[in-house]
Order: sequence, then C-alpha cells, then structure tokens
Amino acid sequence: MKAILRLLLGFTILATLTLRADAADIRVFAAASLTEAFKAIGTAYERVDPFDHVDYSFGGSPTLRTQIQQGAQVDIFASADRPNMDVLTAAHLAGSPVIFARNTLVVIAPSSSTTVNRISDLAGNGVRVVLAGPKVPAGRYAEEILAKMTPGIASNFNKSVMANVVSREIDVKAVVAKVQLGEADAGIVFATDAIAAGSKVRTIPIPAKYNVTAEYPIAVLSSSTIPVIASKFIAFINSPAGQSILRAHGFLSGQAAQP
Amino acid sequence: MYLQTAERRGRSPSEFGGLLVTSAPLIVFLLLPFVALCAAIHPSEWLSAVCSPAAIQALLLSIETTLAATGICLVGGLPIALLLARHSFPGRRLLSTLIDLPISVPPVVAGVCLLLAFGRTGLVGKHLHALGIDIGFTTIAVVLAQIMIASPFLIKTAAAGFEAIDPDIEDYARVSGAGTLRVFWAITLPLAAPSVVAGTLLAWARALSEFGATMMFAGNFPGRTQTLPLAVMSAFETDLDTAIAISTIALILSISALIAARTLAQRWKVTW
Repeated sequence: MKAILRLLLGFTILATLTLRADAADIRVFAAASLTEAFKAIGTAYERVDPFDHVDYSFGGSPTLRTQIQQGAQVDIFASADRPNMDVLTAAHLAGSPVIFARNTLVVIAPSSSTTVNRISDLAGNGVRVVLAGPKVPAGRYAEEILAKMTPGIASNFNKSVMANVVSREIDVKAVVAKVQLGEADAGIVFATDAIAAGSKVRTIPIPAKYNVTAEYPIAVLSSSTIPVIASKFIAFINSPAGQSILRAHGFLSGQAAQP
Repeated sequence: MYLQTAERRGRSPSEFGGLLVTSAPLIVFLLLPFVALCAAIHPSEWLSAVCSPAAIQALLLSIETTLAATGICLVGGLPIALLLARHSFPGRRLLSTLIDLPISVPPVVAGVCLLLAFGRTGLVGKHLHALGIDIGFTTIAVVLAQIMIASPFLIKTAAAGFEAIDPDIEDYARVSGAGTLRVFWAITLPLAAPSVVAGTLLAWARALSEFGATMMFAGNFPGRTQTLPLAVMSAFETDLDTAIAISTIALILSISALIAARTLAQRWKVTW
C-alpha cells in the first residue's frame, strides 16, 4: 500500500513538472544575425523565470518566413527586415510587430589577408566577394548600399562589385564563415556579426551616407499556443535588461524607430 | 517479385498478410512526401518555373558536374574495389572502413573538411593558392564535393560484385594464356558489370543530391556552383512554386536512375 502511494506521489510530481515545463517552452524563429544576442537574452530570461525555457531556430529570415508560411509551429518570429515580417502580418500569420532593435552594415575581410583594405577595393580585379542571398536581409541591404555608392565611389561601382561576387549565402552567418576561413576576400554583413566574429576578421566601416539602418521586427505568431507567455518574452526583450544585452552585442536600440 | 519468392518458399499466406499490414505504415510514410510534392504542383506555373533560366541553369550544371564526378569515381574507384575484393594485405579492413567515412559523417562536416584541406588557407589549398590556383567557389569545388560523397557507394557496390566472381573462371582464362589486363576486360569486368553499373548509378544519384558539402565548400552562385539542390534551397527563400518545380526535376532524375539500375539488373538477372 505504502509503495503504491509512493509511486502515485512520484507520478504526480513528475506529471506536474512535465506540464509546467511544457507550458513554458517558448519556440523562437530568429534571424541568423541575432544568434549571439538572443542566446544571451534567453539565458537571462530563464534566470528571471526558471520555469520558462526558450528554444531557438536561427536562419535566414526568408527561410524562416517560408517555414512559418508552411505551418511551422512557432511562438515568435524575429526578422532582420520588415518585408519578411510584413508578408506574415498581411496573411494574419503574425500579430502586430514591434521594432526591438536596429543594426547597420559593415564590410569584413579576413585578418589573414590584405587584399581588401578600403571599400573601393571591393571592385578590384579578382577580388572574391561573398554576399547573403538576394532575399536575405543582409544580402538585400548590401545591394542597396552598393547602389548608393554608385557613382560616389566609382562609376559602375555596384556592377563591378557584383561581378566579383562568388557566392550568395543562405544566411549572414555563412558569409561570416567564408570570410573567417579566408575563402572570400570580403563580405558585407551586419555590424553585430563583425563584433561576434572577433579577431578573425577586420572590419571596414561603411560611411553613414551610404549605409542603411536595418530594423528588426518581432511578433507573436498566430499559431502560438502560449501567446501570453510569448508576449511576456517579447516584453523582456524590450525591457531595459533585454535592450542592454542587445546593445552589448552591438545592436542599436529599437525604441527610436517604432512604427 | 517478393510475392513470387514467398510462394516458392512455401511461406504461409497469414504471414504475408501480417507483414503487409505491418509494412504499410512505413511504406505510406516514405512515399507520402513525394505524393505531396506532386500534389502541390500547379500545372501552368510548374511549366513556366521548370523552364525558368534559374532552373535550366541549375539542371545543366547538375548534369555536367555529376557526370564528371561519377566518371572520376569510376576511374579512381574500380582499382580500390578490386584491391579490397581480391587482395588481403595489412590494413585492408581499416581501409575498407575508412572508405565509408565520407558517407558516415554529415555532408556539412565533409564540406568543412574539404575547406580545411583545399580552401585557400587549407592544408593543400594554401600551396595551390601560392601557385595561383583557387578551388573554392568554382565548379571544380562542386565536383570535388560530389566525388567525396558519392565514391564510397561505387567502391562498395563494385567490390561486392568482384568478390562474387568465382576465381576459377579467371584462372582458366589465365591458363589459356590470357594476360592480366585481358582477363580483366574479357572476364572480370563483364561478370561484375551488374554491380559496377548499379554502383555507378547509385553514386550518380548521390552526387546529384549532394547539398551540404557543396554549400560549404563551393558556395552558392547560379551557373557556377548552384546545383539543383542549392537552387531548391535558394528558391525556397523567394518563391515556393519555383522550389517545388526544381524539386520535381530532381525527383524525375532520381527516379530515372533507379529505374535504369533496376532494368539493367533484371536484364543481367541479378537482384540487389
């Protein structure tokens, strides 16, 4: 009898724990550029609320967006640009987004090479440039920036650089990897990616007049089964604690550009 | 075919029924995704997507690179298959295990290894770079990735074929005065042909579906390194219909390879 009671008690505790853990499992699809910052925010959040657990899937914003359109069961989507979020909002797949962070872009080159030292070198003969895919935010912004630099830096500058592009990567972290390894002579990535890459890359700043400000929208998805907890996590990202982690990783505050 | 075998062996119909029922869930699961792919096609959009420059470019590049890779696998792999099948030497089993390494690691890992070996700062690559040869981001990189991932299939399948040949047949030929090369061309290769062809087609199909190592080592550029699987991934970012259309091209090619392998195997009266 005693043994049965003990067993029952054990099951009850186990069931309670399991239920609690299940209820607070937040699944987040986030742009690849958010990898380091969001992992840190997740750890901080789990410290504040030990019963909640944050699961991430990082990738190119358009890839994640397509997966959501195809019915991926996710609670939150954080995109590195507006268009990939807007499609979901228009289709009522996502609630109304808030801009929680902003970012700028830089040129990176491997520390081991001296081929690219200034922006005009991107158009040099035989220089191997790697960009993110045309619909990946970092790739789209890069094309925008190159267009703005023409003819300021050189006539046909964007065409000459695009002719040097050897690969359009699936997300911005893949661009960083190719430059870190020295496979590519240069890449255009977010300022935060250059910080995360550390000493293996050299950063060449892009002047403000050519640069763009990337806005990161975040929203609870309609398919979420825990919208209240998901909103709580988004509130944490927008709180001073969350914003300071984003700033520590090089992001600009999202507050200045609320839609 | 399996039904005939069962009858010949006199197995009970109840066993057959039971196996049919227990097999059904996995069979349905394995085939359902392909049915879903075909069901997702809108005929008019499919045709325009299949004929789009991106799809045709990817198809041509895939055919070109996989033919080169399979050819190199064949030329380089047959001696290894013969070596493993015919000769005992120290380290033979180790070699046989190591040959399978490229297909037992995730293809992305194979891609990272290729970069560290043949990339610009890689073990061999840095010396090539000094000579002015850069492999990364070129069509050659695509072929190398495919060779690495596909050749074990050819080597292992061909080796099994060589092993199955009765050595007496070759001995007769040798006694009758045929040279080593002549024995190989006239006796060994024809006898092992079904396995060699099957292995070649398997290797080709695997090269065709290569994604991870290519993405890592060769990058993604239309017309140069963007093969069918990479084109599917890139299209997935922009337009699902194009991704579906390119997927069906890959599916058709793979089915053709399987049917070809089966037909040839049946003609030679072997099953595998």
